[in-house]
Amino acid sequence: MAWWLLALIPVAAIAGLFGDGLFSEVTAGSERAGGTVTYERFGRLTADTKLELEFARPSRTTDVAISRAFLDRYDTSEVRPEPVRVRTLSDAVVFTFAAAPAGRATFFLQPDAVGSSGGTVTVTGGTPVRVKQLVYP
Amino acid sequence: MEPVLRAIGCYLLLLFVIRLSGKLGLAHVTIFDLVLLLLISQTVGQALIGNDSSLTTAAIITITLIVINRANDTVAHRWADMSHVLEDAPLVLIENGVVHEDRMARMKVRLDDILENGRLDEGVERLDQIKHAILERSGAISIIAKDGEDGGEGSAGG
Repeated sequence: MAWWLLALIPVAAIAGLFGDGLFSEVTAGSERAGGTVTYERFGRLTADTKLELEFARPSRTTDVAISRAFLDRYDTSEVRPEPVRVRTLSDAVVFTFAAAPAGRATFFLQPDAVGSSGGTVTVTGGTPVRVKQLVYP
Repeated sequence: MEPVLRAIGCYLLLLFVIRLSGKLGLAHVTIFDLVLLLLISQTVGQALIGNDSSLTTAAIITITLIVINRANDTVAHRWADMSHVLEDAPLVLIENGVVHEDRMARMKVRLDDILENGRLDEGVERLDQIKHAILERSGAISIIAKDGEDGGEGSAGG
């Protein structure tokens, strides 16, 4: 019996209960929000995780504001494509992207705090999209 | 998912490499063999973890390795043919006093190793006192002395 319980752990990991997995990705947002945000429901401390944005209406420049309540719990390893400008406001960090052919931007983040991380991602002219990730130690 | 795949990959790699390299006679594990083992474990350890040093990943990898090993044992126990593939089989080096030198050469076992094990395990002094010598799956050499030939019978005069 104990062996079967232990065997459930790798199965749960493959399914995505502890981070990247078959069913761990969640997509939030809509046309009204100006795009969609795809991310993992669960993360692991110091393990890379991605926040992928797809803009509904690609324009000459697109501003993406990520709330600091969320971003302060991560180290930003890389942003693709490279933003042309980054502004830090009191409650958000705004990344300005030049028009990308694919209308996408990807943030590579590394959690540096355990627990639930929540916040909003707002694309120019859209409504805020709520993102939430549980980070394991 | 990635830690599980890494653990399965490393386990299969080690199983494959160790099975191909044959039994390592425990009788002649040298310091260099130990250093080599440490190097292998360190290299594989890095491949297992990658850039992810979280406690959760360590737990997933540890549990995955234990579960695969248990599954391996279960398969080997249930199907004898698979046991030879997964765990190797014992090899008789001396059979009823007849020395199989070809097998010893293949497994890099010397007569001195067998005699040493005979002295340590059975207290035998000469080759003709050994009935069977078997290279076990673990790499140890087990010795079966001829009747009345073990150390307790007192063949010190030979």
